[in-house]
Amino acid sequence: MNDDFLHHLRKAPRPAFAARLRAQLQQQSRIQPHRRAASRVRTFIVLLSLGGAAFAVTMAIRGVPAPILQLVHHAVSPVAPERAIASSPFRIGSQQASLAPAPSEQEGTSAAPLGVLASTPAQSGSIAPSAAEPALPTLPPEPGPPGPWQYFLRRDSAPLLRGWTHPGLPVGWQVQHGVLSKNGMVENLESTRKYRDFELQLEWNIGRGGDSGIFYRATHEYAQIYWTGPEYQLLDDYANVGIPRTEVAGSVFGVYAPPPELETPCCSWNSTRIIVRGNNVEYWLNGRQIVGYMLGSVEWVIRVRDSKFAPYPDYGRAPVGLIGLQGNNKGSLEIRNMRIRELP
Amino acid sequence: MSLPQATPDRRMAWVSAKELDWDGLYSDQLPRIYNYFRFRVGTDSDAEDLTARTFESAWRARERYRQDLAGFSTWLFTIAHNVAVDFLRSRRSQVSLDALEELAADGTPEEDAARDSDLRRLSVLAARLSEREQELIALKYGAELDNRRISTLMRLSESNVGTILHRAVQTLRSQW
Repeated sequence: MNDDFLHHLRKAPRPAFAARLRAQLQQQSRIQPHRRAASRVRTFIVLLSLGGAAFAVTMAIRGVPAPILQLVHHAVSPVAPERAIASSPFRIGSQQASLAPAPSEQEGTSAAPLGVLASTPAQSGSIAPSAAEPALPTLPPEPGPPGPWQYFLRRDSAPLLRGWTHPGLPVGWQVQHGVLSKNGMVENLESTRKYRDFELQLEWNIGRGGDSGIFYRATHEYAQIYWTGPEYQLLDDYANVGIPRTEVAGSVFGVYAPPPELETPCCSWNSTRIIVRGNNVEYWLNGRQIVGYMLGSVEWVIRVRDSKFAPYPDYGRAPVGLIGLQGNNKGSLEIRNMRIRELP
Repeated sequence: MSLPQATPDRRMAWVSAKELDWDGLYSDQLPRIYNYFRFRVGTDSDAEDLTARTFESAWRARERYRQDLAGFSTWLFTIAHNVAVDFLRSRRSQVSLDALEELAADGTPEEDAARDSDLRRLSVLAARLSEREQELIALKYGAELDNRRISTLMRLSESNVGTILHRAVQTLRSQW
């Protein structure tokens, strides 16, 4: 056996196979634009339906705002607006409803917060329940905008991080010019407080052969942070050829793999976003969503059961937990622009 | 049959990602990818299936290909590598090495070309090599990539690639 012998083992693909594959790819390129358009239309219809349903539920619970009722009754009934509202099953209040705009509109300010309609005291020209009638049921305040960004790193410190066992930044970690770094195996880091629903953003640069990760909803239930907190894997993929895809950079370590074409080399900055809301988790890498999964779903349970986390029943189960950075693995790691905001 | 030896990476250096000549690339890369898989998995039917998977993945992701990060063939072989790893992992859980040997020993029909028979025998022997050695053999003799390209793909030095390949071929030769 020599090089010639090995080269001689090659052969050309069957022409029929080559032609069939080429045709398949060409067909895909013809179909794709139509599929995309159809997909956009479907998405639009679904969103419209969801919006409509949400609006209907809100109206059923809170009552229909007077201007909308007025418009509806103008359209379908010749009776006077006042009578129409008074006789409406959607009881807005027994006081005379006028067409005058709500106070917030009059003042040129933004719309009043939800729930304010039923709880605002009666005002001249406004629609409000009378003292004789019970107030309409009100919803708790609806989710507002995300909370403010909280920054983990300052120029020379990491005020929102501490060691897994030691307070403050453990030996081996340092912050210089806003960049958190470590080299070699050091203690893991955790956030100084717990988070439930959040969006975490950071940039990372893993060294040659490096292996690290970001944990979330982790607890001190077990000795290691990764036995409770799911992990966004940070890895020099090129130095780890042949490992399972569920362990490459961007994977939910041991559980979910990123797309097959994703390969993240060492020694360059990458941006990561992790969004956790309820049981839904999204992983983003360099502006692209690479993983989306649901904690506690049937598929997740099966995958965890078949993973190395099977012996740890609390893995991924905490509704609130710590953010963590893995230090106790090989290689160097740099983190910058690490920030988090809580989601309503 | 001689196979194309074109190096599209160099040829396309000035072309933007959207202007890639996909038709030409397909013709250039198909035999390489196909033979890479033949050397990795040992059977033509699996090699065809995995080749199709690789090209379909690449085709779906073509808008995300960034020429500034990697040459096209490097990108394509990265996808092929991941496809192979997934396949081999699933096959490993289904077929033992012994079963593979039986398949090669008993299942070689006379009408099979000697080349296919040799390839199967090679697959059985190569299965005893390390994962990295198998990958290098497939890239070198299946895909006919030079050591420099392999060193880029595998993140090894060029001399290291040569050394590992030499050792792997010697091992195969001793067992042939």
